[in-house]
Amino acid sequence: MLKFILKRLALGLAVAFTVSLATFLMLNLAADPASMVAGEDATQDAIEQIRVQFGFDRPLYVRFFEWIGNVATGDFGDSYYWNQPVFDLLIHRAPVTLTLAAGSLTVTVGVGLTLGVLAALKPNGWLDRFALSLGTAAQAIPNFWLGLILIILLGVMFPIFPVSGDTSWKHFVLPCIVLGTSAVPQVLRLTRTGMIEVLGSDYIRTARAKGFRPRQILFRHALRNALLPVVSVITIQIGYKLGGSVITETVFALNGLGRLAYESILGADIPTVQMLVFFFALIFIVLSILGDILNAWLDPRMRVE
Amino acid sequence: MSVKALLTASVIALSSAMPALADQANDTLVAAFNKEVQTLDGLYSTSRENLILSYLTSDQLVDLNPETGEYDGALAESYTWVDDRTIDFTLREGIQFHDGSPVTVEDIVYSFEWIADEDSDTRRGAFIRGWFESAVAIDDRTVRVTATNPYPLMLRDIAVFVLTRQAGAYGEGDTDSLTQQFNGTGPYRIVGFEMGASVTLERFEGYYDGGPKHEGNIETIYLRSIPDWGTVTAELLSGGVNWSFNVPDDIAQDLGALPMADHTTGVSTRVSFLVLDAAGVTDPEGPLTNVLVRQALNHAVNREEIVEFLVGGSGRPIQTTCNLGMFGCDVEVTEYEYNPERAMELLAEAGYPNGFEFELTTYRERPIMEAVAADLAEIGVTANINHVRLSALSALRGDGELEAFQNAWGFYATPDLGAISNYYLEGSNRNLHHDADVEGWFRAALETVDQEERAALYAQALTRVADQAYLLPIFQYSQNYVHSSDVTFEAPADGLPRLNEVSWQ
Repeated sequence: MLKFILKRLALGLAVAFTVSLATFLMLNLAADPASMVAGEDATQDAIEQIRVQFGFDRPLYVRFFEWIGNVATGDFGDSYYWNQPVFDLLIHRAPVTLTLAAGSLTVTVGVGLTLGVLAALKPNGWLDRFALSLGTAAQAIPNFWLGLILIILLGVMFPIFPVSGDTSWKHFVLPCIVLGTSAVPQVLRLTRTGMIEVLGSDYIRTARAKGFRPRQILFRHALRNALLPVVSVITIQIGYKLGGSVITETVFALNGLGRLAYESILGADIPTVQMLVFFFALIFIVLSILGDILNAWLDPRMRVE
Repeated sequence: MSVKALLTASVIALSSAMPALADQANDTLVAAFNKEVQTLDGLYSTSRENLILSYLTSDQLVDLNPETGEYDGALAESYTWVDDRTIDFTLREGIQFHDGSPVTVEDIVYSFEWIADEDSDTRRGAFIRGWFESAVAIDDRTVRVTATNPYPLMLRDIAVFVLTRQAGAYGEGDTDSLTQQFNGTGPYRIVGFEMGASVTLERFEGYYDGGPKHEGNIETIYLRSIPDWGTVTAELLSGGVNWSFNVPDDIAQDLGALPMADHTTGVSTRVSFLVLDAAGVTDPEGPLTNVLVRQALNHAVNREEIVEFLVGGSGRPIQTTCNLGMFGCDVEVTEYEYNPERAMELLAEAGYPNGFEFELTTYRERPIMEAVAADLAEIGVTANINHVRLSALSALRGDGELEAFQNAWGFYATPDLGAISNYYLEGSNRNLHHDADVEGWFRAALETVDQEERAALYAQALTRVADQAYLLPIFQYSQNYVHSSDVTFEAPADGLPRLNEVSWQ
């Protein structure tokens, strides 16, 4: 297992490096960072001075390896746009995104799992149809639209929650519902399908014949096995949510990592974008390894493999 | 979702509107910015939002009076031109920083030197290094600023780019010292900052009397970054926001029609125009090198309709790269009225009876650029729009690959044609005409402080530029402001909103 984890980690670092290099090249080849730092109304002289001042006139490979060398010593550089160390920016913005991710994941798992299990208890019954309809609707509704509708309903018409901002727990309720809802259909469908399959299997029939109580059968025997594919999906969802949702953070004016990434890309703030891409890539790698470990814990057969 | 639908739904619910934090009772004005405030230090940002913030928190030696176009003494009680490259500034007595320490001549000298120092990495230094020679304390109230050569925009640069900093504010060269902890001189002091999200300002009770800036009507100003206009609208309706600017015209008009909000429109100093490759940088034989073709393009664009239907507000069609009332623009030039028939005649005369294709690189207001392309299509000219980010356009421009490109120039709110010299000077990659006379006239106008001489030079230059149709001027921007109806706000003449002048009704 340790060998497997180390192998995955090494592979992950190589992926993070490649993604970072690609981002660096794309940003530098497609845009002139000096003009962004200088501003829209900067004169030609000002742009050229800033190009030299910030070292944008040096060859790309020199700048890239300089960045890699600095990262190796824990220095992620300074943001041109925010005039701050990039690492400080990430630390400053992360709590908002972590809160949003935790809240929205709770919504996704809570609603998706519950409806999935209930729907599987009586396939094609009214509850199953209701759950599937809800899942289809959740999948079809764009985030920004749902966000605005919730703002109108619960922020303006019935002012229960604040419209925007991130200074109290109340500010996170609407965004968590919006972000969480978008992933509900996947979890719901996978749970439902898995449960229907598992509930029809021999060992469940045996368990019933042995006189186990329905609740025991459902939660101890069926759900644990039905969860295997769901765990993988949830792991990926955690990655997406930790990466920040640009749309949800924008609509609700949340000051998280998604907005930081968006603003940095618009501002051609190469050090910040580099750092974020590297960070997001690492998150996905770590999570996919964790997903594998979790699956192995849930299903002993995978440990052997 | 359409804004109208949002408004309709919201108006129904007004009676149950949320209790507001932003209101007269708290004496707190909440202003929503569409973009974020990245830093409290205006020397390290070029954004409009930071200009608005810096106006509140930082005073300079002089301040532009948007009504007269003159520079009034601010931290400087008065100033005197010693010769055409030297100005003596006499500081006011009793002026202080927000921490209570006095503003001294050492602070002024330090500010100039820090900004001009290449290692300080400020976003302003590059603007003054071209002329700045020295700033020296003559006595304990007088600072002498000297330029390397006569430079007519010296006062403008001092007013816009030389923000006053306390001597030693950046320690041993720590450029982010003031990013989050700011000590300024303006009518408002900073009491809270959440980077990228909000800034809280409080009226500075120690602000000096008799200066050009209003001392501030409202006790607390809370600046919030809300990137989505739908959310800004909801906040305005629910009483969470009092004021916003740069609002898209359709949203501003819809909001202005509601009883709880007012829409105010004013000019922006920004102008939009196309630069045409008249010199043949991309293709020496290209169609745009032909003056008749360029004149045809100018006749083909219906500026009036573009302004009426797409720009709105206080926007206006333009025939030169000038604002209203700007120095150097008092000249009658050839005007190209909308006349597609005449445009087609000119094209035929130029040898392009069936039109031609060219690439137009743009980065702003895509709908307007599409309208321009549609107008050109009417005369048989196909403008293939390549819509990119400004940074990408700049990269292409630097490589000399642009056949025609859009530009929107804001002049840093300077009422002087000299502020747009970039498009007319030799060696600039924004200059695609390479007309030696025009280059010479603009250069000469930047090297003398004799205003009569400068006006004559600009008149010659603008006349030639219009006759040769080197550019395709389109419109001057409108600035839309939306505010709650309990707020009194007047649109500024220079497009820079001054929140210290906002008051409750």
